[in-house]
Amino acid sequence: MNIPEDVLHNDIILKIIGNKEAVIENFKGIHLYTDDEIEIAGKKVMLKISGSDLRVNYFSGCDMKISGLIKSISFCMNGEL
Amino acid sequence: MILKLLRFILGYVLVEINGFAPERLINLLIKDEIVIWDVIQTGKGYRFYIGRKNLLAIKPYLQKTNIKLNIVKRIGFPYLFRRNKKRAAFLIGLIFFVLIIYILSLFVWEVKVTGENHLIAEEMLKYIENNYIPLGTLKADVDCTELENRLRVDFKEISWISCELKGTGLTIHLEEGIQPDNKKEDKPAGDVIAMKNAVITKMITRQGTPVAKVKDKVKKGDILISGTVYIYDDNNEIIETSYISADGDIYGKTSYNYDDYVDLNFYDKQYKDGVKKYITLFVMDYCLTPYLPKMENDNYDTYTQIHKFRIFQNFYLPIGYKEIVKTPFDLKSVERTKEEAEAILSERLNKKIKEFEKNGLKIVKNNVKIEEHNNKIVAKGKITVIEPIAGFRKSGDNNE
Repeated sequence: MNIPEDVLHNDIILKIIGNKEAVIENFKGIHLYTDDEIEIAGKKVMLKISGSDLRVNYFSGCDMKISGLIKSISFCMNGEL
Repeated sequence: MILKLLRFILGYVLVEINGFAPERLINLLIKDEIVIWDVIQTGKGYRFYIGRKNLLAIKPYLQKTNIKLNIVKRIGFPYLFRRNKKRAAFLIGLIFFVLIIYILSLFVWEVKVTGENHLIAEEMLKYIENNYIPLGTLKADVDCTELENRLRVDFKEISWISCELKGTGLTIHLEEGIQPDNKKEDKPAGDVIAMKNAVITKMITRQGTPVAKVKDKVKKGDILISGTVYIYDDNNEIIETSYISADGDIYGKTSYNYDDYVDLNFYDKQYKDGVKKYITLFVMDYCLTPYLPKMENDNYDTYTQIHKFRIFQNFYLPIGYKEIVKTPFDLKSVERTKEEAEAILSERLNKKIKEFEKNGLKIVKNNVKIEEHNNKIVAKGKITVIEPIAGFRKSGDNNE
């Protein structure tokens, strides 16, 4: 069956453009939002974006856009944080 | 760009939230698919933009999360409208103004004719205004091509014409010239006829059979050179008749009656002091004079200058003002001496003669005599000239 992975596992889709922009889909909510760090909760994993001058351009029900200088992106399982 | 415009039309607000765990509110908004944008973290909480309608939708969440919301700025058309409600009259006036300007722009308010010869231009201007396009014609009704064609028919002296509709003005560009001779290859068959009663003095036949000869007395309409050519055989019988276009130069002696007079007693204008100046406002044909000075005299020379208002270069409006200057004068009976009157008459006669010469007429005899007659000085007589008298008439066209 050719069902896309994100639909099957209900995972986060992350699209990054260079180190300046990131578009995130399929997320549940946000945990933390500061200039240096943004934590986004997915259905299964937690996404942590760190950098500087981070800003959320928009939130909507299905996606969000973050801009700023991204230094690292890391994942951890829910509950580990 | 479109998104921005849409947001502006619907209206949006910049809000600031603070309280315990403002992220919770954001998560609730995300869950409810309420769009927020440009989220900035401030020291205490967050600042973001939200749509006008969504602002009401988030009220329950604010109570639920116990977060305070401050509206920092209201942006967009609904807020602008609400703020300017008191200035409704101004808005209505503005709309009214735009509407009037638009309606006025649908009509022609100015006709201009450009050309070398001012007399023709003036004449044409009047002609157009009287016959085709009175001021205030709908622009949609003006057909430039048709107007050009009509003017070309009505004014023979035009060699080139172009009409241009720009703004509310109709400009007619024209070039006057002598109509080019109809010397076409396929000139119709016809005769050369006399255009005036004359005595032929010189005759050059280029084509055709000459009918008249030098020293012949001809009447207007007589055939001078026939376009019918007969070809005879040896027995002097016509074997073939062909019709060609007769052509030739024919000069004849013609005479013009000259009649002119000058009164010895006449009235002369004596201008006086007390020039009156005033301004009249006008809208289309209606005039309004705010201040009319007292007119003490009976006779005035009036000089009117019309100023039409316009927006931009070609957007004329049917409103404007007239500057009127009235110069009073008295009529005074004056007597001329006989010599003065004669001088005037001979000057006029010389002018007439010069005009003849300018048109290529040669004056042979001039027996104009100046005499006194009933308190008038009269110049009367005949001027005999030599001029071209040939005209062309198509065969079968006998009404001349």
